[in-house]
Order: sequence, then C-alpha cells, then structure tokens
Amino acid sequence: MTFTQFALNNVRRNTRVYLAYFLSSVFTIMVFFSFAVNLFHPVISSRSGGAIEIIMGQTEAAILVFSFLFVFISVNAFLKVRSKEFGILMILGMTKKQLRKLIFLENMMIGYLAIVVGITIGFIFSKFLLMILSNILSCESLSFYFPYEAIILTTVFFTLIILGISALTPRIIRTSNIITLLKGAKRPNTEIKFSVILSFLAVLLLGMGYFMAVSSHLYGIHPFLNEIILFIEKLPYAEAVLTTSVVVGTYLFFPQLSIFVLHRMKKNKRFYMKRTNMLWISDLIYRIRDNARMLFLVTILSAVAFTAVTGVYALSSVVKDESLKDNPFALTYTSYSSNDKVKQHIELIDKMLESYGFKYKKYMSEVIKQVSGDKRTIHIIKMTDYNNRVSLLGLEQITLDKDQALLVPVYVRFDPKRDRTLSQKKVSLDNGNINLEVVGIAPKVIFYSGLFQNLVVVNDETYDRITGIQEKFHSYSYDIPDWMKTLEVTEKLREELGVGEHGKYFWSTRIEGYTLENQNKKLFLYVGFFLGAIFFLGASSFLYFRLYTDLNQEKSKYIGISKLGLSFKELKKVASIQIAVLFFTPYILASIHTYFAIKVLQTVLYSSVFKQFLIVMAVFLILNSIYFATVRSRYVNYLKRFIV
Amino acid sequence: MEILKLKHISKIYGDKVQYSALKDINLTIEKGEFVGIMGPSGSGKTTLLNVISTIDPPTSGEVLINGENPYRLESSKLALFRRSKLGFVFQDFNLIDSLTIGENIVLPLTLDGHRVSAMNKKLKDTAARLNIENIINKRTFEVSGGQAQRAAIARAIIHSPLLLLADEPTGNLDSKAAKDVMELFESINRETGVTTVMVTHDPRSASYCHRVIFIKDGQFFNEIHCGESRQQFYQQIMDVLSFLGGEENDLYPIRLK
Ligand SMILES: Nc1ncnc2c1ncn2[C@@H]1O[C@H](COP(=O)(O)OP(=O)(O)O)[C@@H](O)[C@H]1O
Ligand SMILES: [Mg+2]
Repeated sequence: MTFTQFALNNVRRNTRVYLAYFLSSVFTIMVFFSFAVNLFHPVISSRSGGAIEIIMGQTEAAILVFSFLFVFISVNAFLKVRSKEFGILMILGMTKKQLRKLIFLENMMIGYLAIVVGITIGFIFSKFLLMILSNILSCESLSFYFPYEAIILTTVFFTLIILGISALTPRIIRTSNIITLLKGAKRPNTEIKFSVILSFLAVLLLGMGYFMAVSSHLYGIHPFLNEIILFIEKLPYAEAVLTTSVVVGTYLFFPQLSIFVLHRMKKNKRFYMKRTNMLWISDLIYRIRDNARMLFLVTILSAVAFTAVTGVYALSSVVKDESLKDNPFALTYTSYSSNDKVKQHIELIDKMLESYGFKYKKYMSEVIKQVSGDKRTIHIIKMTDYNNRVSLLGLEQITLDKDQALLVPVYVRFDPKRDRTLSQKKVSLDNGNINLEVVGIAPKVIFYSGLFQNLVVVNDETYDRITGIQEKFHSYSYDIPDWMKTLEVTEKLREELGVGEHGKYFWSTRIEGYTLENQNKKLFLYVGFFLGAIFFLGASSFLYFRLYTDLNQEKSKYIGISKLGLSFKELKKVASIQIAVLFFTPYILASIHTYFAIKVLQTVLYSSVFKQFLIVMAVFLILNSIYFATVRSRYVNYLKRFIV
Repeated sequence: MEILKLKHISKIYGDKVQYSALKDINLTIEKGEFVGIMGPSGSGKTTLLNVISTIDPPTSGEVLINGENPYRLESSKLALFRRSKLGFVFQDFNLIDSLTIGENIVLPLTLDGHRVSAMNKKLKDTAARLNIENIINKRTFEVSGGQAQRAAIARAIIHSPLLLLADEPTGNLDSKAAKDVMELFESINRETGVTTVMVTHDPRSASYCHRVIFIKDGQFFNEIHCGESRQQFYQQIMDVLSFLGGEENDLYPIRLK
C-alpha cells in the first residue's frame, strides 16, 4: 500500500463519515456553479458595468465567502471526529507534513468528485435559474450555453479552498498532543470562565450598532442627541463601523453575555434548584461554550438571510408605490425659454397619447430660476400654478399674501427639521428687494423627485414683480390614469424626442422609472431569495451537524442521569429546552439584527416596510419551528432507545 | 547495551490543581530484555509508558532511548524516530477501521515510503510468524479481539523496532486469547531480540517477563527477576501484589469470587 493508496482507501471505505462532508461540498459547489452560469451568461455579461452585473457579481462573492465558511466548518467537524485515527497515525510515526499531505489528498479526491457531481447537478439547476432570470430581465429566453468560464471559476475557487483548508489543518488537529488525540474528540469539562467586562462590551457594541442603525429616525428628540447623531453620520465608513460592532457584539454574545446571564440564573438559588432547572442550566452553559462559534455563525447567517429576504420582499412590494411617489405625474416635459420647438413637441405628445387611446389631463406651470448674490439657486412658482397642479395630487388649495411664501420639497423623503432649504424661516428674492415670510411646507413633491431645488410658491402679484430671472421654465405634466400601459408609447416618443437637448428641454416618465426599478428589484428579489435560502439552509445544517456529532457524548450523559432516577418525561423536557435554546437564540438575535438592518433600509424608502418584516419573520419562525420539532423528536427518540 | 534509560523522571499534571503522577523514577533496560510494569490502578503505569513512548514529555528528568533523548528532537525528526525505533501495542488495539488488517500491518512501512514489493514480503513474513495470514484481507470489524491484537502486534514489529511498548495488551482479551498474545510477545522477544516493555495488571501476563517493576503512587516500589520457572515467578509476583495491597478488588477480580 503506497501513501496515495492509503488516502484513497480512507476515502473509499469511510463513506459514512465522509458522506456529510461530501454532500455539503456538492451542495455549495452546485450553488456556486449555477450562479456563475448566470453571471457569465453572454446576455448578462454583455450588459457589463450595469447594476445587474454589480448585483450578480456581489452575490457571487457572497456565495464564495459562504462556501468557504461552510466547507471549512464541515471539514472541521469531519476532522475532529477522526482525531483518534490521527492520533494512531502520529504515534506510528507520521510526520506533520505527511498528515497535511494525507488530508490534502483526501480533500482533493473528495473535492474533485464533489466538483464533478456539483457541476453536473448545477448544469440542470442552472437551466432552471436561467429561466427565472430571463423572465426577470424580460429578455428573449436566455439560451443555454456551454459555461466554460463558470466551470473554470468553480474549479479554481474550490481548488483554492481545498488548498487553504489543507494549510489550516495543523490548526485544527493539534498534532503536538497525541494523548488527547488518542482519547478522541472529548472536551474537557473545565470550569467555564466569562468576563463581566466582555459581557458589558457585548451589550455596548450591540447597543451602539443598533443605535447607529436607527439614529436618523431619532433626530430632533433632544439637542444633545442631535449632536451625537450628526457626529455619527459624519463618521467615515459609518456602515462598516455599524456592521463591525454588531458582528463583534454577536461574537461576544455567546461565550460571554449568554454565559453571564446563565450564571445569574444559577446564582438565583430558588430558581436554579427548582426541579429540572439545575440540569438544563448547568449543562447549557457547557453547550453554549462549546458551540459558541457555531452559534455565532448561525446567527450571522440567519441575519443575512432574514435581511436579504425582508429587504427584497419589502422593496418589491413597495416598488409601485415608490414610483408613484417619485413621479406624481405620468409624464413631465420641461422646456427652457430658448426652446422654440416646445409647441411642436407638446402637440406630438398629445397626438401620440390620443392615437394610443389614452385619456390624459395636462398641467402647465411656469417656474422662474433665480440665483442670489451668494450663488444660491431658488426656483419660484406662482400660487395659481401650484394650486392647479396640486388639485390632482389631493393637496389643499392655498392662499398666500403678498409677503408670504410656501416651501416645496424637492425629494420625496424630506425632513423639515434637518433640510437646510426647508428649514428657512424667511425667503428673500431679487437681492433683498422682496422679502417673504415662510408660512409652511408643502407635504409632497409636486413635479418629480429631484426637479427644481429650493422651490418656493409665492402670490401671483409678487411673482409678476420678480425681476431677477435667470431662466424661465415651462413644465407640462400629464396625468394618465392608464400609465401602466404607457411603455410602448413612451418608447415611440423617445424615438422622436430622445432624452432631451441640453439647455432646451428634457422629459421623463413614470413608466420608465417604474420598469427599470421593477426589473432591478425583481433581480434583487431573485438574488435575495436565493441567498436567503442557501444561507438559511446552511445555518440550519450547521446546527444539525453539531447536534448529531454531540449525540454520542450526550447519550452517555443522559443514560447516567436516567440511572439517578430521572423519568423519561423529565429527561425529554431537559433535552427539549436545550435544543430549543440552541435553535431559537440565534433566531431571536438574528431577527433583532434584521429589524435594525431594515431600519437602515427604511431611510431610503418612502413607505413603511414593517409589515413585510413581520411577515418574513413569521415565515422563518414557522420554518425554524418545523425544523426544531423534527430534530427534537428524532433526538428524543434516539435517546429513548438507550434509556429504560 | 542500554536501550532505555530513565533518569529522575517526574511528571506533574495540571496547572492550578497539581497532581504528581510520577516521582523520581530511575530505570535502565538492557537490549533484549522483556520488562513488565505493574502497580495498582492510578499508580502511574500508563503515564510512565507514555513518557517512554515519546508522546508525553516528563516534567523533569531525562529519557534516553538508544542513548538519544527523543524529546530533544524537532517534530519531524521525532516522527522518524518513532517510525524506525519504536513499536506500539495498545489495550484497545487502535487499528484503523478504513483499512484491511494487512494494510494496517504495513502502515509503518507506508509512512516510511517503502517499495510495495518489499512491503508485501515483510507482510507475508510477519503474518506467518503471527499466524494471521488468513485474515490479512479482512476488515477490522470482521476479526476477533485476539486476532485484532495479533494484527496490532504485527504492525508494531513489521519494521523491526528497537523497542516494543505495550499498554495492557491483554486487558481486553479473554484468558485464552491473552495466553496466545503473551506467548507471541515472549517468542518474538526471544527470536528477534526486540527489547519489550509492557504495562499490565494481570500477574499471569506479567509472568512471561524477565523482570517486573512495581510502582505505587508514582514511585518505584520493587523489582523482581524471573528465576528458573515461570510458575515460581508468578507466585513471586502475587506476593508483591498482596504486599502492595489496598487494590485487590481491582487486581484480581476473578479470584475474589
Ligand atoms: N492528562 C492528565 N491530567 C491530569 N491527571 C492525569 C492525566 N493523566 C493521568 N492523570 C492522573 O495520573 C494518575 C496516574 O494515571 P495513569 O498513569 O493513567 O494510571 P494507571 O497506572 O492506572 O495507568 C492518575 O491519578 C490519573 O488521574
Ligand atoms: Mg493505565
């Protein structure tokens, strides 16, 4: 038997031990490969530089990181189970280098087999994914192609992962301590240490992350708080700081904070001594310590999965709402004063809309642009035009005196307290010749989001008195009740009008924004559900792997306890509480993380997505509970066999 | 010629709560000797054997095998040392389940990179000597305990080590299998001249040795040599054990009936 044959024999004859590891590798490779097939599809890669490529590329990167973690954890579990075997080999005189070579060879054999199988299954799976994708991008069905780039990428990355893991094996298997290896993967039940300082730090970091996430919603409660919020917002890499503090806080949560809490419970003698409490608390402390890293990973993966799914679900369910708010009118054509074709263009638009059979209503407003002495741009609209326009938007008609002004937000999401232009109390025009007092702020955008910065409504007479005129715009807005069907007519009009002409005119439609957003958001939805599904699956299988590797040790412990006279019912309760804690603590922590992540998302959305958050969390809760119930009953049944 | 020399060996376990498992052990074993180590349970037999086996460094003192201190070697040299100079037999056999009996036996040669033809020849010779030719293609779970232990012995001697170390090799075997295994140890020692150190708490097994060393609470207690007859030696061992006392339950579970 040569060394290579030895490695081969190990792999060939050890299927039961290797199977879990092999299957998780196949699963990750399949996911990675199928997504790469999407990514490298000629139609998609030809749209390079666009949002699609970025989203898809980042998703693939996320899958890669996940793959590494997933494979690493499976290998870790798999090597730990075999510590006794490695101990025997070391005592027979195997060098560290040979051990590394053995694990490398085995990994190569399993890895390459997994790559072949994963890619083969991936071929079929990717065809299905391509179908979904072509539906989203509403392009002619994405044809199947020979994905040699995807094959190369997958092979190269997974070879690197295998190499990386072989390099890490000496850290996993402590070859210096042969006696411990020979005793197997048993953990020493030494006294558990935790630090009050680190527990406190966990609270602090989590609190800080959460606070940063909601900070913009808290502005204006107290001036001191405002200062802090402004400071946070000016922080460089605020998102990175936020994410890091939540991740580190979570990392400390399990080995520190949760142990701290359990220790408190232990101190409460009345509670601790009651019935079976003592059993599950004292044991849970060990379990959490031994599984701290796994629980951390499960929490983070679940949080990513929950956030991805909530995020994309929220985005997709508000997309129509958002474009309605972004574009109160279905079509807006704005002309500079130097545009001599305005009449011709408006007639063309009218004619086109009529020829397609659309009913519409047209609103024309005149807007003056003035640049003040200190280079501040201000746009002015008169009261009549404003009232005319807002009659459609369901806003109140207003009456302004000669020295009064109303401010109009330029973006849908505005904050009257913090927006510099919206918080002015006085408006001065014509270099101080006209001074107006601000009487209020319009509640909505009245053109479309982003058009006419610093817009002010004034009394018609005041409007006519204005002399400083940089530019006079004429904006024609169309209300088309059937706007969802206007994509075709818009495309026709684009052929005639193009995107506009610099310094002459420009125009925009709601349907184009909606279509683009819709496509992007569907893509998000696809990617988000995809990631959510694999991350959640991954997180769940970590828990599963762990419980089953622990089972043997647990078994002898439970048998011991049952001999002391604990009924099976009580035993079942102890086991159930423990499994429940392992299953639901990550869930609860991850859903809190998700809640705050959604708060961050909320700052860029106009509509509340809390309802969507609740729905998604409920769905995951159900999935998690089903999973818990299955694992618990299998576990309990397994124990039952050994306990009389 | 001295094959093994222990000078003032002490072993302390634990950092906070310290436990002194071995206290100032001195021992010299000559080439070709067959030495047994006995003592009550927890007296430090396994610890002592592990210290000799180069897998558990002593807290103080020196181990010399063939004049060389293995704990001074760096890790790859130490591995080569174990591979060429030492052979191990354990109570629970420690065969690798994914390999056949034959493959388990040649494993030390595989690790040493021998040619396949040379390996097969040695396997044939060793298996014949231990009378296990008929099981070399079987898997570990298809053979009896006695056969498994014989395979483990084959693995321990296939590379002709300088020192054969065994920790309770008969501890998991019935008396018939134990007798076979001990006769094998004796004949291997006699025919190949391999120096053998064996931990046991079975006086019957110990009586196959040339010399038996007794330890108690980690300290050297006594040492007796085999004279003319094994039967007489066995009686001597029994006498020392009863002298050691205290642990009779553990030592002779059968006789207490
Ligand atoms: N790794 C260890 N850590 C702490 N104490 C140990 C360790 N290994 C053995 N001991 C202790 O040392 C003493 C001797 O153990 P051992 O050599 O296994 O005895 P035996 O003679 O039964 O083989 C025992 O009291 C045991 O508890
Ligand atoms: Mg022992």
